[in-house]
Amino acid sequence: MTKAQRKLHLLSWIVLSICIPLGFISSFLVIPDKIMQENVFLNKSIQLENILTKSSHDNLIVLLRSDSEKSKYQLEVIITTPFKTPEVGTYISSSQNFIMDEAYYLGNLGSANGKLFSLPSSLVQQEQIQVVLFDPIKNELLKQITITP
Amino acid sequence: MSHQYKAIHWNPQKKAYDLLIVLLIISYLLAFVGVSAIIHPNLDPVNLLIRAFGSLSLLLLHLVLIIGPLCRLSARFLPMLYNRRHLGVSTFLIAAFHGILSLIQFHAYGDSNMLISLFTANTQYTSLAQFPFQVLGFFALIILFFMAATSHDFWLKNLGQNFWKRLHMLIYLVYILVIMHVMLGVIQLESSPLLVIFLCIGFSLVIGLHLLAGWKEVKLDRQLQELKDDGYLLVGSINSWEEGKARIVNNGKQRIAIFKNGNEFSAISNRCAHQGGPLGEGQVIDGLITCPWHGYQYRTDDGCSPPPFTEKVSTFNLQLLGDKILVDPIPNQPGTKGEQVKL
Amino acid sequence: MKNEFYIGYINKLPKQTAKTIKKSIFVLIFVFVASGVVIALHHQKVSNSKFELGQLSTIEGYYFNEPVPMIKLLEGKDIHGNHIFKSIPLVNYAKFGVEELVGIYEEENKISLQGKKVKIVGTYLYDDGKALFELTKRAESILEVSSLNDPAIKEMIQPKIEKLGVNSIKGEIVDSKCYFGAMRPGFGKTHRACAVRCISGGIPPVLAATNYSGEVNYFLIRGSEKEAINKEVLPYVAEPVRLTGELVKIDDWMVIYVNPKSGIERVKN
Ligand code: HEM
Ligand code: FES
Repeated sequence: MTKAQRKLHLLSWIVLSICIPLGFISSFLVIPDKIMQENVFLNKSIQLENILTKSSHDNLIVLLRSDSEKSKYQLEVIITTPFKTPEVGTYISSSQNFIMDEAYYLGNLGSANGKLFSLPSSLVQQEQIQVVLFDPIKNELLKQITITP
Repeated sequence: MSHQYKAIHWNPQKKAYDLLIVLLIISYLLAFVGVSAIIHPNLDPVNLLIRAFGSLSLLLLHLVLIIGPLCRLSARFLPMLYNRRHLGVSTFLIAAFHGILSLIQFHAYGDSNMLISLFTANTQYTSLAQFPFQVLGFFALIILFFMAATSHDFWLKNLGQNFWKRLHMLIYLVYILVIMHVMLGVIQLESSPLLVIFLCIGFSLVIGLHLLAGWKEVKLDRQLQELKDDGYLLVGSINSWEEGKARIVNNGKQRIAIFKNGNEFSAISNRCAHQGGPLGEGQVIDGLITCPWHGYQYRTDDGCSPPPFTEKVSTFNLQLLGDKILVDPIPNQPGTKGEQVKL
Repeated sequence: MKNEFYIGYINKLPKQTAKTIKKSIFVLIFVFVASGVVIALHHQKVSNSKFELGQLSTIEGYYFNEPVPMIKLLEGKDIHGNHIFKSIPLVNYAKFGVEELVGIYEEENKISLQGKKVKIVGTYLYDDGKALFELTKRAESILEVSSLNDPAIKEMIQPKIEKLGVNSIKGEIVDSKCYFGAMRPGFGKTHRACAVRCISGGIPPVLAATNYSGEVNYFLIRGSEKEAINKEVLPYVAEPVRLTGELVKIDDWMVIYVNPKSGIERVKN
């Protein structure tokens, strides 16, 4: 290399040693904050305080909740590892043999956290509750759980 | 050397070098793909490859960039320089795979041409946070392409060393483009500080080594300049040489290498006709001055490569004053005989 | 050591040089493997979504084109005896929506699909309680269309519409196809260009809004006149945005009807 070329190299690196950290820091500073939607008016019910039963089943935790007067009941289903099916419907079946047309549909389960479904007290008065997770799209029974209130 | 242009003049060192490149590439890919597949089994396999090859090309780019200054700082790293062009071409190929896969994955099969989409899908050119980072990668890839395409000695010769060097200095531009490509891309998505720290270590190393080596060279240039009254430069006492090696002086524009070969002293330009390697850090082997970078050779008396090779460097005229060697700072025509000192 | 001199085409490394090179090779292999592991570990944003690529399914359901072209399936009866439906938006092969495809089909066959029972073949995509269906074979995905004669069924399948008033929701505009499975991850900055292509090609845009408990709520985005506003949302895709408009729940999907001129704004840090 000639002296001029050497100088050009050194100069390039002096420029780069300023530009790279500058670009680096400024792009770091502009990373947008994660946006949160505080407006949680959507189907947000509050957990009732008493836990009547709690049971774990592989990737599920199922809780039966009630208020202190036992006038309202809730079924809480928490998924720890999501099912790999298009739909996870939650049903209450009246018999051991699940038939979709004869069961009550409570709602579907997403992947995050737990879901709360309110239960009419008439259902809780029964000896056993059959909670069924069923995929109506693929017609696949995912899980059947018996709860004794 | 370049008497005849073959794609590659294979030799055992080049084969070992390329084997190492392949080994590094495979070990990175296995580690990356293996860990990703275990902890993120749901990651899209195409995205996985895009990430693997993108990050690998950046790692290789760092390696390419630190070899130069490492060799200036210690000659023991020279074997890494010997076949660096294969490392450069590999970096390009890996980056190209990443870029093309990204173009297909994110831009193809839509309502617009892939390349048009690359520039128009995200038009937030005035926002730093939302900047279309893929465009930066695209320009980096285009430059890498031209460098890889002209990496052969054929192009070095035909474009001329100066132009070729300048073209290949664009690697610095590539580097900053890629850093910003990552900073404005994946860093804006992932919150983990690890990649940020990694990138920081990477560019600190690259910048630090270059500044260190550059500073050392500029300082050396300053030290090497010692003008005598009649315009000759003082090199040193005839006893201060090691056999077969050179002492270097600087005439203000370039360095001159003054070699001792037995009883004979001869001066040639320090700048190798190949890629400008520092001839003065080479040695006389079988009577020929040999460049430390890729081993090009020159005759001591006229600066010509022995036939069939055709490279030429300038010679300089020497004088003996007492026991001191002096050199005329004005070069002779490349390939013409210079005045030697014979004891 | 001073006299060591390496020449590439002579197959021999001087001693000290060989030592340095050997060490460097070990360092390099270590650095490459460690970087591979560390960089792979640092990636976190991978969704749970699924695309049943290569696995064709057939479904039969009721076709509706509002708010976006979709198929409805009966999911069951709730405690009050109401029929509950699952709505599955339809998307086309690659980065296209189905509106054009359905239009052509209706014209060629001189029928309207609206409210009909249709049988289609294609591929499921799903995540987080939402499912989509890709008409993988394009127009050939529509296998059968049959009219409903039973007025009770006609009545039963009518969409249940619940108006929730005007509201502002903060979130990210995503393309529903990639987000719910076609690409994992299918959101965020690095996916922006792809999402633009998909939405530009007619895939329904969706606002994904995360709340503080980590749940994500999804809103199909339509114009205030119920028109598609795919082109108008393109500049805002994958950025933090706030959409303001009429919220309506149609069966199991929330829809936000946004005036594209006044209802979309960027959220600054
Ligand atoms: C046509 C040119 C290019 C395109 C379209 C492109 C596109 C992309 C995209 C979309 C990503 C984000 C991937 C993700 O989120 O998973 C990415 C990441 C990246 N790209 Fe590129 N790129 C191009 C060229 C390059 C070049 C030339 C380099 C380096 C030499 C490079 C290095 C990287 C790196 C290091 C990442 C981050 C990988 C990671 O996730 O860890 N890209 N690129
Ligand atoms: S620079 Fe390549 S041999 Fe001298």
